[in-house]
Amino acid sequence: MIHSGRFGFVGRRLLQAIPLTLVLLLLVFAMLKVVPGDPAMQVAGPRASAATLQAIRVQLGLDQPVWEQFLHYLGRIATGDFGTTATGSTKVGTLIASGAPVTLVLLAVSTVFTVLIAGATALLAARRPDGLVDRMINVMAAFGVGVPTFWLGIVLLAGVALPTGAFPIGGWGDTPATVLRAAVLPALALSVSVAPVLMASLRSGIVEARRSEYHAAAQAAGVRGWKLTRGFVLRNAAVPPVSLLAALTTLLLSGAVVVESTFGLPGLGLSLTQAAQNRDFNVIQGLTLVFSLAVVVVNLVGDVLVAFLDPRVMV
Amino acid sequence: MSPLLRITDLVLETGPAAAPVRPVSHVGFEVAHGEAFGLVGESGSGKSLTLRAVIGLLPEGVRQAGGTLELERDGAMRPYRFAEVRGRGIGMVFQEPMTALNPTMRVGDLVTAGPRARYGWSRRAARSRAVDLLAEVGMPDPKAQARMWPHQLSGGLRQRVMIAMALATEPSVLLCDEPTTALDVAVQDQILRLLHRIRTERGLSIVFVTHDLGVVRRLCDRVAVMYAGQVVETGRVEEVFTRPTHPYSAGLLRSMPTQDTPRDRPLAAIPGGQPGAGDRPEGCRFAPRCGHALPACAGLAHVLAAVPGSPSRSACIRVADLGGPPLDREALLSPLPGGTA
Repeated sequence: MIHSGRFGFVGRRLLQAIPLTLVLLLLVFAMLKVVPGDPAMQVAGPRASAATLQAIRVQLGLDQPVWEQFLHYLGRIATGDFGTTATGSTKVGTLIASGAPVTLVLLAVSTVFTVLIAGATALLAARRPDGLVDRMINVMAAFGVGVPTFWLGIVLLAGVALPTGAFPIGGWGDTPATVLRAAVLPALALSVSVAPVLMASLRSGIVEARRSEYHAAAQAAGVRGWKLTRGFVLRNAAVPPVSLLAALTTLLLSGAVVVESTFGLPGLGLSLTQAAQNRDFNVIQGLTLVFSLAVVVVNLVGDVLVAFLDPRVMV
Repeated sequence: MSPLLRITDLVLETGPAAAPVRPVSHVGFEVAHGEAFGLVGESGSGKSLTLRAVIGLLPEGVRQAGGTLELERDGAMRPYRFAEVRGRGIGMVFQEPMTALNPTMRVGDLVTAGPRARYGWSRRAARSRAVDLLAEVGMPDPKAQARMWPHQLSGGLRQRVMIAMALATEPSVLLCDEPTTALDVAVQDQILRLLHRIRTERGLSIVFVTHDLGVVRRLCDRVAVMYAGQVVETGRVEEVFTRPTHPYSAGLLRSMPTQDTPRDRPLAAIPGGQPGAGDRPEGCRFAPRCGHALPACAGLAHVLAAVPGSPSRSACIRVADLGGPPLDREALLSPLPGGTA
């Protein structure tokens, strides 16, 4: 009965993600419709004749009603066809497939860093609320949020990568070891701005759990040490940070765009920056869709995780 | 009966160490093997803080500034460290079963959390023990309920889970902090019967903190009445309830409605209010509200003295002159209704 409750909850959340995804697709499709400029002119060049432009419009399907164009777009997306880049040389799908692993590794490593940094500092800060350590961590957290990611990236390159030689100055690796090494500094730059937000939430959760009656009741029953911390503090305190971390994915993604440029990582963020400079709409559209879907998926996973941590949310 | 738990001269402080405020000053009491002891008083009297101090779970900012806590072990009273008695000797039932049960743990896991941490029980052993305990506290379907979450249970069932959690560690003393206050009257009655039954079956001692005199009357053998951080009177329940030896207890009892209390007249009340921990008067703290007070009361040192002709002990120097009509023994001492919980 309880298990069906959990699976029911997961199923309902999955169903809710479907209309959300459709709205996303509609927005991404509409994005192209509202930006200034004529796609046909983009293809044919500014000196093309009206007849040529019209022929291109028919070829691109732009003469069709908008809703038909949308259905057509949905069909293409469903088959993984994102169109080609502006130069026509590469398929957008190929571009995404080659950049996605880089961005995924970057995000994964920086999520691990974020959780480690936030977890350690939150536990330290919560030891004595409003004590010296708590205040110092609070000041550091304010710095962390305030430091621009691109600047921190440059500082890490100049201050760590160059003098030590332990990390590449930029670019990506081709074996797991070199990939991880290349990801460390950019992931760190990314984590520094996100970790403080998570830390603050975790810290207040820990303080609250330690003051709770269930914590006292567990102590009265003889639970102590790490079992007390794990079962009656961290487990309860983790609930808000987990959903927050899911929400912070948007921040990590936009940070990834910046960091990939700073470190010259061949990921989706770098492709997006380049596409924006070249006004390459197919690429922008494809990447926007991928990023949005990633946010939907991560939030879905976050919701499910929260439900497993705190059964009260499954109503 | 031989003593099991003895609290002597307990002093609790809060605020800056230089100018502390004492919510509890020099409280002492003794609980015998198998005895139910009531600690009764109004909000702010320090009864709950006293109870929490017994197991060292004081709220943030309150500290123990003095006193001895002793538990009987191997035939002798010995001072204890909290780590020794938590989950091994002393158990505690909290007031709010909603907030005192971890919402992220299944009922069965919660009930045996103590012994699992303490004795390293295997998960499987803990599970079957949890079902036994839930059955002992009268859960209607213990096997299914062990798999449930606290929020899926009613208030009364949650309090039963709380009691099972405290019993899991096989305590010899059960501290109960107003365990029925958050429940409705019908459920209160069930929980009281349950505690009474468990106490009889297990030979447990119970320390019961409450503001409800009716609960004390039904469940307890002896009682200490607390006022403004001190015990003002202590004795056997039937004595204190029929021949109170302190004007405060007498006033409390007179303000308690019984079946025969005329409905058209207001209940008797003690004029004034209990002073807060920060502004307590010198001498007898009840004197400013007391109809029997003498000038000497304002300079009185607090001593719980034996009362001539009574088994109770009282802090009042005017015991001999209290007089007043004796309280109606029959109305106040209706027996605990029979039956099991």
